[in-house]
Amino acid sequence: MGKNEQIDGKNRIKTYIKELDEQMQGGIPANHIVLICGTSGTMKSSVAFSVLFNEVMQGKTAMYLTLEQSSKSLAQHFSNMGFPLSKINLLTLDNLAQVDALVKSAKSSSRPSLIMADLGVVRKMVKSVKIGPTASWMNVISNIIRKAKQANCELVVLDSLSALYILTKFEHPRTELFYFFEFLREIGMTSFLISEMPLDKKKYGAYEIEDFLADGIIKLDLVERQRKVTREVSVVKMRGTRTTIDVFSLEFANGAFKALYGGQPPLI
Amino acid sequence: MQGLALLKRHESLKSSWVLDTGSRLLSGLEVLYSGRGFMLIQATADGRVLAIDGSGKELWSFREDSKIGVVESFFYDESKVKAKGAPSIGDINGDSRQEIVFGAESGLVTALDDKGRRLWRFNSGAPVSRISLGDINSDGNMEVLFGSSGNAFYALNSLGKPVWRFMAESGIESGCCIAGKGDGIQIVFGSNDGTVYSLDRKGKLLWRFKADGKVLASPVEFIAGKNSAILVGSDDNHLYALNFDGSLMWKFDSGGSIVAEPVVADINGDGSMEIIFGSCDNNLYVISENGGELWRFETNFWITTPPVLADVNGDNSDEILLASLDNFLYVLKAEPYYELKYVPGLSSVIPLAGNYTDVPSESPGAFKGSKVLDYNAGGMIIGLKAVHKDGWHILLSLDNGKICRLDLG
Repeated sequence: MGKNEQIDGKNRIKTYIKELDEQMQGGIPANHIVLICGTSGTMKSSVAFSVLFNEVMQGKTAMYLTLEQSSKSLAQHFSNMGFPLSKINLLTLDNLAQVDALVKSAKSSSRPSLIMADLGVVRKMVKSVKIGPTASWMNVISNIIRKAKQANCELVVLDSLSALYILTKFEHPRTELFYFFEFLREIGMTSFLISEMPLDKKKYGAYEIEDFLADGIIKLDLVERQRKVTREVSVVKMRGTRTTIDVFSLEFANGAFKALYGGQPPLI
Repeated sequence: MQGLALLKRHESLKSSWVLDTGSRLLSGLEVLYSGRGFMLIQATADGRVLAIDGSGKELWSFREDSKIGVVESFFYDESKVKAKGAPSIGDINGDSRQEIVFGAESGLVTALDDKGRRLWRFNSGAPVSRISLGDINSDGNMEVLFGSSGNAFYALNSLGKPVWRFMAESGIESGCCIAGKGDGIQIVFGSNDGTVYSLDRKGKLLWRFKADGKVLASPVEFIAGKNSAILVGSDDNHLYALNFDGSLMWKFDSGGSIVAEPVVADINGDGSMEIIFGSCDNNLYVISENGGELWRFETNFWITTPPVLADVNGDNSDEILLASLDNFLYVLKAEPYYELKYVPGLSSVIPLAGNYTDVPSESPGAFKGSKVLDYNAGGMIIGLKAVHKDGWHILLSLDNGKICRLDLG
């Protein structure tokens, strides 16, 4: 299958989890908002980054917006995992005053760009900025995404919703999240929102509305069997496409993810 | 029954024109009447204030400049920085022409004349959502009244100069109502911590009342003899009726936030006033002047704009125009209602619903709202007005940037 699958006339974004894309007609319909959920250590960030990296390698521009782990640490981590970052134009956004210059650079680059927006560094830099009572970090994130769109960015990862909730004091979380999801839908980018699930795995997001608002949910899990822990992946929900809700083992080797069914590639 | 029949003869609501402003819309529209007709005034998310004539032609456009630093600008909703609430319209300077006043996230309050020329602007220093106009000191000119997210409530004179300022304990996003007359004038507004304030004409605090949630909707004065009250909707799902000394008369619990003002009218001609308001539990409520529910009408999403009353079919009684975020405009009629439990000739009891008054009724004199028309606007309706000029016209503004005029056809 090509980089943009055209099944039922829909552009699709692959998860780049081998054998899983085949289970959902080639991938996630473009412009969907997808929650990537899981407890700590389930490789949520890595799965999301893998999508972005591979799509950038196909010629698209994408943005990874990190709110907790620094962009430097993430880049080091992904490089160690075997993603050849030198093959792409990796841009770091850590200064709001330079966003326009960065957008210009991404647009004029001959190589496809992946923008790593590091909100942690930005927060440290803007401590002294005088802002009014309606100023919010939610607006900062939305405005950065708007700017990324100007750089022809087609995919965005927000890592993570849990960190966003700490950063932003929601007065009316369900309403404000509704409008944030509406914003993502309107801007027309495929969005991956990473959500840290509680250890009891009883909800996909802190406010229990995220799963309803999202178009798709990919759940990652750690399962212990006789002291051996394996990773699992399942597509809990994916609007606009046929998919299985079966649970697959998730393996990562040679810079690529693979879904296995009982230790074997699943039958389609 | 006559109204229902007339509306049914008119087959549907038809769009006379649609204007695409080319920008998202965040607030409703206002209507400015002039000698020749009327014009619609609409603020757009990209910072323009547009004047549109009755045929959908743009007459003028005003763009407010705002000066915010590059880094600071990231902290605001870019689309709200320049124009926030719906403009307010009134003759603020007694020149027999109407002026347009609007606030912005940048803190600027701007007054324009009816040609779109700036008369003055005032910087409050904090976001301003809603503006109210009224002559609070009986000098023949309207004052400009508004609160800001910086906790201040201002009264400006007709030249944009501050007359007084009152500091509340939280940000203010609601508009205000001017209740009473002469020296007894009260200026009542709500705030984001749920406190409702009443000030006298000089800006001194008269009383305060604490609701359990943010107050976004402008309070409304409700004149109904001994049941007269100030009505305040809140994010805590309640509509409060307050006495004019700030004590609670009654409260009504809807299932969702109330963010739009109620309207008050005798819609069923029974001689007593009804209070009509929408809620974010998707329902329109019609309640009595004592706070008892009469009937409700459920839509498919939140109701965030005030209903509008207009006799769109000319049957001498008002219909309720209701806009919902489910994209639909509903035209409702309060009809006499009964539940027939006995049908002559049948020995068993059969419940049947209907709306005829000349048959035995289980609840005689009761009214119920019936939907007589609806219209799919193709976008979330955030502004609704009805204008009477050679018949009634319905004006809608949609969040997707479109403005349209509907007529019965």
